[in-house]
Amino acid sequence: MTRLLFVLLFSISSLGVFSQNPFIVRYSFSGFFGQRDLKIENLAAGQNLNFVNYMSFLDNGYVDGILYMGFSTHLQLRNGLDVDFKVFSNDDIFPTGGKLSVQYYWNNILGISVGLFANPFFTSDYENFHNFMDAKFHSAQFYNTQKNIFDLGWKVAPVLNFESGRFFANMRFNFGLSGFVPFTNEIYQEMINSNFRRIVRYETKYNKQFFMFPEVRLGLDVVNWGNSTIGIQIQSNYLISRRSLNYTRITYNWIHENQVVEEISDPRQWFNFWNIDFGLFLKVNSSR
Amino acid sequence: MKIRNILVMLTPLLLLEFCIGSCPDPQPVPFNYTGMETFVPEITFPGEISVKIRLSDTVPWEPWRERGLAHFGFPRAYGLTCEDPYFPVPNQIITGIQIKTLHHISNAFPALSDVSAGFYGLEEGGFLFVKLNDFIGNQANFRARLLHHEFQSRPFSEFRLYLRERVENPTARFVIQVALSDGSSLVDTTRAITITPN
Repeated sequence: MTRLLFVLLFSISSLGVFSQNPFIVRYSFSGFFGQRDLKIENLAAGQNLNFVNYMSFLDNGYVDGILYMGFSTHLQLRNGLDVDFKVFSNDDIFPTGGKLSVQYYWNNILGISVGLFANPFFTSDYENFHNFMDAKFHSAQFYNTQKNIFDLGWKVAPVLNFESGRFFANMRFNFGLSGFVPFTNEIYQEMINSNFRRIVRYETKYNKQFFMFPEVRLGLDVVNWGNSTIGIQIQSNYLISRRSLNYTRITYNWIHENQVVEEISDPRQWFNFWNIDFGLFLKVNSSR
Repeated sequence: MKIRNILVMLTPLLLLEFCIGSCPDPQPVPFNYTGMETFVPEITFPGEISVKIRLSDTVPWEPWRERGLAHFGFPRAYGLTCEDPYFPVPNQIITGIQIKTLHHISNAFPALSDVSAGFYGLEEGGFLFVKLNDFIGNQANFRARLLHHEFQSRPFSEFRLYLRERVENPTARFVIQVALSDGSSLVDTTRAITITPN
């Protein structure tokens, strides 16, 4: 919370500097609050653990729609470039995800955007796979079965921008490559009524996969004074992708020797999510 | 406030410290493995046989009598008692373990054969087993840890060995011989284990 307040105060206190800068056309800051939902094609359990089946926005499993909030800044320069930076939370007050993008506009309407982003997810409760599939075992220990996992990637987008009077609209047709940040985990199992023990170790891989991510931002200026404007905005976006989380599975039976190493490629499945949020923005135009 | 008043206030604390005394540094007390006991379950499943082995000093060993803590006037409060100031450290280390089965276990291990290769050890804090040879090889490290870090309040060492093989016979019994670094060896025969099929 302290960090958010600091960002907020810093941003507001900096507005005066931006309004005098000869290179800056406009600076804006916005806060928003909305809802998001994740839709994953649920594949039948196979012989191998499918991490994507257990993915959600939250650490306690799949929930239909969660609330989130965030802040974004937008810096528009005179040479046609502008920079966006956005952070958002995941059903919490602390930002856990974000994106940074740079746009170049050939004219007032058409531009191109290039950016990086990180979307937070959880893979939770996947020890259930072993509980169901390995009925002869009981799981002695689980370490970190809940993993905060980031979808990290880059995107490119043609951009359409409209401004008319108090109204503005910005549409981006993002596409790019992204993948889940790798993690490792171990599952310890003891066979029931037997001395047999084993450790199943998962080492996931960063597989870049294609996605489409159209997004739109609409705004309306409400109050003007001097160079500054306060308005309301609505943002929405939708991610369309097919994902799999491939991994290496290493099984140690009895002892830490003669381990069985398997490369597992799970089938790709539909992995979509949408966000919609409402908020206020403060916009400062340069006086020059 | 005068210095004299401060000293007067501190006097009871100083007297208390004198009465309680301070804890001495713990000292290692060597002992010898002179006896061996084995512990097995009476009834177990074919794949779940384990043997607990205890090596101990049969000579009475009471380091508590040697506590030389100074206290004067009234007995030590429970919360102020010291840790045992002495801890036992074995003179020998284990150099070999041989296990013979008295009954048929499987085709690989018939009756009266050496079944040492079928047993694993389990080290403290470990989840997976270690081969018996590695387990024995680590005994020297184990002793070193005892000397420098671990205070053991009783003069014995215990460990457990686990049979990997599934026992086909309805009864299992083993003769276990432990060789020690001073050339001596200790032998014990386990009780008979009744195997319940599962």
